[in-house]
Parts: sequence; structure tokens; C-alpha cells
Amino acid sequence: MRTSAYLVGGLRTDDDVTRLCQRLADIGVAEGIGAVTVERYPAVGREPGRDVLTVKHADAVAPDLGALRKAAARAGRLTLDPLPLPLPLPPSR
Amino acid sequence: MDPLTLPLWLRATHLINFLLIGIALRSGWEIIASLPRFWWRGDCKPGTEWVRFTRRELPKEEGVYTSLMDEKRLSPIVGLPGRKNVGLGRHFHGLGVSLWIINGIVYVVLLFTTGMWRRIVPTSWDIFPNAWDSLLVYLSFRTPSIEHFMPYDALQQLGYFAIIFIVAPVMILTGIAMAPAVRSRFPWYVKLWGGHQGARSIHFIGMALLTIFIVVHVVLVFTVYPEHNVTRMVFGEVDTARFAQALTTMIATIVLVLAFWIALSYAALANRPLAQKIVVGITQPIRRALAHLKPRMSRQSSYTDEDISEFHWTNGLPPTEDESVEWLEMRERDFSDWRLTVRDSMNDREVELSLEDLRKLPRASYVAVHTCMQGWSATSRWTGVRLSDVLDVLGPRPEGARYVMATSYGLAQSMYGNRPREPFYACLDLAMVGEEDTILAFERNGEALEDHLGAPARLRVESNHGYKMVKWLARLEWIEDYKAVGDGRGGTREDSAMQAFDGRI
Repeated sequence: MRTSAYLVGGLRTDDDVTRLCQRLADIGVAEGIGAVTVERYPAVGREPGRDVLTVKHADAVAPDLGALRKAAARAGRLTLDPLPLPLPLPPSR
Repeated sequence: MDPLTLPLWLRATHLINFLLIGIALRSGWEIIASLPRFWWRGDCKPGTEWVRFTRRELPKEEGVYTSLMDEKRLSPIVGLPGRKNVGLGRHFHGLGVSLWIINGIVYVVLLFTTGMWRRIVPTSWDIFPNAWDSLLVYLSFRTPSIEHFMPYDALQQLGYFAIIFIVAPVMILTGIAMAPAVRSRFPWYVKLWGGHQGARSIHFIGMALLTIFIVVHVVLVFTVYPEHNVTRMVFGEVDTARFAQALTTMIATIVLVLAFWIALSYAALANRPLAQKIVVGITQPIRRALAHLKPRMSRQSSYTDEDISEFHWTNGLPPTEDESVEWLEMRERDFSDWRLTVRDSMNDREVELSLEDLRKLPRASYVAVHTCMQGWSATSRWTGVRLSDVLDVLGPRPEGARYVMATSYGLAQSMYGNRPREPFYACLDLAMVGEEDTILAFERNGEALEDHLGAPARLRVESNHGYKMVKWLARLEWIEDYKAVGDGRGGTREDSAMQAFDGRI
């Protein structure tokens, strides 16, 4: 299992997150996605808040960015941009 | 008694039934939406479902897809509460159904004590040909003559009898069969219904019949002699002169009940922790009572190795590099250097146990059915050591310790409010800790535990649903209270998905 991460733009409410995850689940099998999670990092000081989508998938599978973007567009006016790993860990971990 | 009157108690229980059946059905739909597929076979193998309400395909391979990916979002107008909240849906279902059963018992007792059962319970085999004739009349888009309704015609009477005395009891009995506390103590009872999936499927069929009945019932009330039906339901007797008044009252009541149902959804969504606290608080005595059922494992023989499943779903996937590099590195070394920390947080003492250390403790092994609160199930032989034996290595239970917190190397799949994820955890109370079939498992079906099912060791708490059974176990800790941990509800799924701390139902 591996994780791919993306910066999500355009999310406003938790229900927007639910809708995004639903659309990604719709393409889950086709894209080899095993799990999706959105983490909403709040703004800290001058650092703006950001919403990070992590997608778990088998080692041999890389979800197609175009397909993910298409699914995100079906959930609303959302944008997805790949994020390099490792992600900065929150202090609680 | 005038055969056409409907006494006040009957009209009152009917109205209460209307209110509660909406809560039970809508929360039931929320539960179905969390896994919108039904199986007869116990392992829910992808592709073998007999009916599904989703277009999503499932991968055939095990351990590459979490069951949370199958959840569907319902509108709060349809589901209770809607928007993928199976935890709250389950609580509302428990509350709604409990009150519905109490109301039903009151109704049935009064039905028999007043002699009104004769209106519902057929006493002659003539009911069948008469009901058939009535059905033919309806199918030809005509209406049976008014003399047939004393107060119910044969088809109506048969329908009411079937719903009250067959469908409703079967739904209650199959609902009970899906509770882990009942299954782990009386597995023969669950097997009687065809296992967890048999009970779930029959429960679903009952729900479908009930829903169809309600739709047909309401349509006929307003289309077949409505001036009789409506005035009788509102005023207790046929009084066609007051039809307009009765109709207004009835429609206003229906609108109010519908508004209440939907308001309940939005109120719950507006403050999910408060909704959980209130509803779980009301239903907790039922869970507590189940804790006192006889313990499992003694003379347990209903499930054997013959019942072991071909397929096992998973809710959660193994830790990845962003979650725990430590776990990945240990996996590379076949977990030879894996250590379980057993800690007494109150006295700041701890020991570390390797897999070898665990294997030296007395073994526990049994075949059990795992159920996820979403609805899937699988049967496996679990082998490991009793949790109480593992904790004993540290010494006697520390004074004041009332819970054991188990923490995973893996992160939660989601947190409340989608905040950044933290390691998955679950807390067990002393009753759960002491149960004979609460174990730390390191083998499944005679083999080392698979990565996707929690390698190298995981919790098994057979009296509860799966969300208490922490996978990829890292630490066990005696704690005084769980209020200060996470969001204070006793576990990751309690915090994020509003599940009850006590997962026995």
C-alpha cells in the first residue's frame, strides 16, 4: 500500500468533503483507490490553512490525476494539485 | 361495541406508530446506505450479493479496498440523519425501534384485552378467498362495496395481520440477531436466521414489505371511501358531515410529523456530538443489560472451522509511509523486532512484549463471526492470547484504572470535522477486558495475521462490533478515564463517526 497526496482547492464545508469522497469512491475500483481521506489543516500564524487529500492505493497502481480531477469536478468547483510526500506531520502524531 | 368505531387508544398508538416508524425506517435507510448491498453468504464476497443499491463495483482482491469506500451519502430529507452518518443512524434506529416496540406491545395488549383482536386476527379460512376476490376488484380499478368494510375488508384484515403479527416480529427477531452481544453468546440463534447476512437480508426484506404496505395503506385511506376512513381515524367514528374538518386535521398532522422527521435530521447534523450523547444516553441501559448475558466460549460449538469464510472485508488499510515508517520497517523484518508496549499510565510503569513473549502466554483459539457496524461479516478462527493475560504481565490492575486504551500504528481514516488524522485508538471497559473472548490475536485461520487485517497483532473483542478491535497494535494502556483522550468519547470511531462507546449492539 502507498499513499498519494493532493492539495484540494475550493472546499468550504464538511459536506463538500463528503461529496468529494463520494465521487472519488465512484471511481475507486477503476483507479485502484483503496481509501480516501481529506485532512483540513487550519491556518497557523502566517501559514494559510490547506485541505489535503490522501489516497491509499496498491504499490503497483498510480491513480490517474486526470480521472481524480474529473471526479473532483463532479463534486463541485474543486481543484486538485499533487503534493510531494512526506507530508509535514501534525504535532499530535 | 360498534364495529366501525376506532377507540382513542387505537388512534393514539396508530399516531405514535406513524411517528416512530418514520424514525426507524429513515435511520434504517441510513444504515443500509453505509453498505448498500445484501448477501445470503456469510463472507459478503464481492460479486455474490443478491441485491445492491449502488453502481460501484468491488475489487475481487482482498485487502485493497476499505468498506468505508462503499458508503453512500443520503440527503437528510431521506436518511436520519443523512450525509454519511451511520453512527448516528444506528443510535436513532435503536431509539426509534425501542419506542416502536413498546408502543407495539401496548397496542397488542389492548387489542387482546378489549376483544378488538377479532378485527385483525382471521378466525375463518374464508378470509383467503374473500381477500382474493377483494384483490381482483382492486386490480380492476374498482372498489369493494362499503358493506365489506366492517371495519376492514378481508384483504385489509389479512394485510394488517401479516404486518402486525408476522413482518414486525420477524424484523424484531432478525434485528436482535445482528447484535454482536447476542451473536457472541447465542450463535445458534443467529445461525437459525442464516447467519448475520441471512438476518440482515431478511430484515431488509421486512423493511421493504413494511414500506410497500405503508405506501399502499396511505393511498387506499385517501382513495377508498376516504370520508369514512378519515373521519373514523380522526374522530373515532364515521361522521361524513365532518369530513373536511377531519381531512384538515389529518393533513396538518402528517405535515407536522414529516417536518419533525426532517428537523430531527438537521438538528442532529447541527450538533452531532450532542445528538450522540442524548440518544446513546437513552439507549445505554439496553447495552448495559447485554453486558450481563452469560459469557461466551464455554461450550461454544455453533461455529466451527467448516464455517470459515473464503473472503474477509476490511475497514481500514495497513499503515503507509505517511502514517508509520516504523511499522513498515518492522514489516520488512517480519515483525521480528515488533514490540507491544503495555503501560500503566497512572504509575508511569510499562513493559514491552515481543511476539515471542506473547506466544509464551496461554493460548486462546476459537471460531467467531466478525461484524462491522456497516453490515459486512466474516467468519475466522482467531488465535492469540487473552487480553487479561497480557495485562497481567504488567501486574495487578492499577488502583483506579477503569479502562484499557489500545492504540494502533495506523492512523484514523478520518477525524471529526476532517481535522488532521491521529493514530487510531479504542478504549475497553473492565467488562470487555475481562471477557474470555477478548484476545490479542496474532493468527487467523492458523496462519500469521495478514497485513490488511492487523499484522502482527490486533484486538478481538467478540462481544462488540469491529470498531473496538484495533489493528496494527502498538500499545495497551491502563487509564483512569477516556474523557481526556481524543474527543473524550472512548475511541476513534466514537469520536469521528459518533459510534457508541459500548459496541455490543
